[in-house]
Amino acid sequence: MAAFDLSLRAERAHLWQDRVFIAVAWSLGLLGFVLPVSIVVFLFYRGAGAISLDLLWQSPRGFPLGASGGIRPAIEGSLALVILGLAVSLPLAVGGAVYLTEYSASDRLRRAASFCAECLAGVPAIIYGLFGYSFLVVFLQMRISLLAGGITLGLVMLPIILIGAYEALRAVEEKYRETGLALGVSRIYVFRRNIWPKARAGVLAAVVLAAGHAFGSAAPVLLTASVVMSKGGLDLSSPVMTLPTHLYYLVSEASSLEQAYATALILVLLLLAANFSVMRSKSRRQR
Amino acid sequence: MTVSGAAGNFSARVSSWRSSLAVSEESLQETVARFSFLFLLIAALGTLVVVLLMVAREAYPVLFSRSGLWGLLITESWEPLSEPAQLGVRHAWISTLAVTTIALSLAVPLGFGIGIFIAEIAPAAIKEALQPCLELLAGIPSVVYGFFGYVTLVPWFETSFEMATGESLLAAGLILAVMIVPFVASTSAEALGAVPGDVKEAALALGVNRCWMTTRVLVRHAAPGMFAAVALGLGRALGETLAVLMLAGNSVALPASPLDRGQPITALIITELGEAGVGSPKQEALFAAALVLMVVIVAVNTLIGRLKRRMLHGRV
Amino acid sequence: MDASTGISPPLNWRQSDRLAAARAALQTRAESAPIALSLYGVSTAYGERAVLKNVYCSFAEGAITAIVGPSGCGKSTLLRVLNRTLELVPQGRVLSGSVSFRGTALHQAGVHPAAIRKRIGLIHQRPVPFPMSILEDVLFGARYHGLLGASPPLEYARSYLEQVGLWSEVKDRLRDRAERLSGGQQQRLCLARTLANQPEVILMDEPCSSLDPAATQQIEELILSLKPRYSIVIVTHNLAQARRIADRAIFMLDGEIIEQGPAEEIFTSPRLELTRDFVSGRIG
Repeated sequence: MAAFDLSLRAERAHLWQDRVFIAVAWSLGLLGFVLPVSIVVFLFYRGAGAISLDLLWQSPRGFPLGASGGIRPAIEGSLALVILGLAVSLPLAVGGAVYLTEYSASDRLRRAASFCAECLAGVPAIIYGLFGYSFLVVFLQMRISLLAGGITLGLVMLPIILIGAYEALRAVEEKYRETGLALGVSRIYVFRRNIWPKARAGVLAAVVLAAGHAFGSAAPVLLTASVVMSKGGLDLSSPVMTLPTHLYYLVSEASSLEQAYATALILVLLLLAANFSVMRSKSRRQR
Repeated sequence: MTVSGAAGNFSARVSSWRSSLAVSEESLQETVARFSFLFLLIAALGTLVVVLLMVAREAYPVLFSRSGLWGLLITESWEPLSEPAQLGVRHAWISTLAVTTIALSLAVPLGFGIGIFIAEIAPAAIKEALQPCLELLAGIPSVVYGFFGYVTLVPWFETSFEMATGESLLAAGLILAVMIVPFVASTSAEALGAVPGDVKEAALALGVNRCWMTTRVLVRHAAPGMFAAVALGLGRALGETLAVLMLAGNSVALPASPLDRGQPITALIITELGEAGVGSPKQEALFAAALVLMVVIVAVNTLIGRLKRRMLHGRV
Repeated sequence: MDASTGISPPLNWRQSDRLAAARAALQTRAESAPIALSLYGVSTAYGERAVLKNVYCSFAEGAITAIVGPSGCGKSTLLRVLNRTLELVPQGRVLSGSVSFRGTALHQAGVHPAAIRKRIGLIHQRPVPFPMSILEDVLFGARYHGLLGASPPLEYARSYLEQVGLWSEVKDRLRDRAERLSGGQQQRLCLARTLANQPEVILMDEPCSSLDPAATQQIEELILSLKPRYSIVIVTHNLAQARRIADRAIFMLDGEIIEQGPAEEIFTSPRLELTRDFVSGRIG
């Protein structure tokens, strides 16, 4: 009927405006999908060919260094750094989070600690690297070493794990604590039997994410632990190779581009696997 | 006062001290556990605070140096080998500013658009597929992004713009934009999703189309969260190291255009620190530059926290 | 008193006297009024849960129709079917039946919901001020539909703000945020905003339920003043209010229409016992 048809020019214009708006939104959404996928596919396409068992198992050779051979010391170095970092940060971060959720009676303390941790999580990794350099490497004379780098990475991971563990513990409803305590048992018992099993998966997810972040970070490691080439074998007081720094050196020294692609691809795939497992566990928990 | 009276006094004081710590009726084991965890918390936060203080400690001599803070930031250029050594970082913070501006001007519209798409337009299945993609984007390490830019953008710039080297502030800014898009997008999607349904319904009940409702009501209502999204992107861009190190060109000259090479603060630090003698003025200058950067980033992050709280607790 | 020009009566009149006088002046017109909106066999559901069940009813032109019933009986849903905002609620669906506005079916292809919503406005239970200045808020829909024409925005907004009695209270702070107004002021603002859209029918979903008695009285007088120009459908759980202002009434229970007719009849001498029970307060 004439009353409702859209022959009025204003109405038509609005309909088209809506259509354009929705079309633009869709294309931007598509871009959000295409960007990450195309980066990964690109790296895969260029790098997959260079990945071989040799690459993963051998040390770098050739001239300039890295032009041939493998990246095994880099993989070992990365793992060692992260494990060392976790050894430093895990007890502090999880312990601190446990205090905040289980023992602290003061809301102000919780909010202040939370605020502190969030600020520190926003501090870029290079600042921690600077601290590692001036305090650990120079002042404590650790030199450029696995130990200095490990502690520095631990500091990078600390606020991330603290916040993640705090959120995971907080997500466990208060009623579990109240009913447990009402039975007259100690807090640590309630925690161990009731709270921890529920929060465990969330804390683990935070740890994996933090570890992944540290695994891929190069800036603090460049300042405290890494070197272009190490003789293999891990030693707390010697420098190490890591995957991200190896990639950086390959590019800045303009050595083998092929190895660079392979290194980048391996790095991305490892982190993808870590993120994927976290997402899987999150969706399983939500079901 | 008798002995028993004194003892009674003492235990009264102990128990009032314990209750002021909310420790009431606890076994020894409990108390040990409580204080161990408290210790860990203090160690955790304390360590982090120590980190910041140490950086500040290395940096503060700059205030008393020949040129002071003003010289560091404004008047001096970076010529450590000249006589007397010039240790100004103005080329660095200008580069940081340039790269960050380029990155934000691309990432904010794109991120907002994706955020609106996720919050308002995408069907549930697409949303489920898009979130992991954004997380993927956020999870790629900085060095890989730098490498990606190095093998794609830099050669392309060299051929298209006939430059001697494609390394430039523009290349760094473009890659930085891609790096911060997921943060802007997911934070703005969260902000838009938090707008109560009756606001949207009230707008649509007046017969306006979705574009009008989204831009004039929804986005405005979610404004604190949208600002938080921008601030988040800004904070990340300021602190980025490896990608800009590999793409911006590492030139100590003052950049004049986006196609020039530059050296953001983070890249400057990585490049120069290794050659700076311990305790030298050069090292102090680098730490001071880092400190300035850190202060700005902490300020930005505090702002984000405030904005997010306003977003969650509704508007005034 | 002439309700349609909104001249306020002497202060010593009781509220009920004022309203009764206003109604009496317009009562005769309501009986033989043509139909503005009608529903034929409409059934709706939220997801799997059925809400409206085979509803047949009509709303007279230029009259105030009250929909009453206990909470959860589907009154608000009925309202939302009328201007097609039901489909905005997630999982809200019209299962069968049709709604027609002056003879045109609303749910057919080719009819755009936005066009309907301009002509059939809706006031919500809780006032929803927009995140903008008071002036911008009033003009929100009017700007979109191009109703300002040549007149300056201030003048256009002023006429509607005056109509709801808000002008004197906000004329010095039109640039203030709309959210700063009090509850009663916000609801009047929402009414002004809807009126500025130049609708023909106004739907109201318990517009006074979140307001204090003084604000409620103001809104009720406002509603009466709108009567000959607009057709009004008001959902209310307040029977006294319905008695005060309605010309016609519809009683619903559990998603079904139990009885409908002139307000006098429904409230004083209903045909069905169920209605009588509800109206006298024995159930509900």
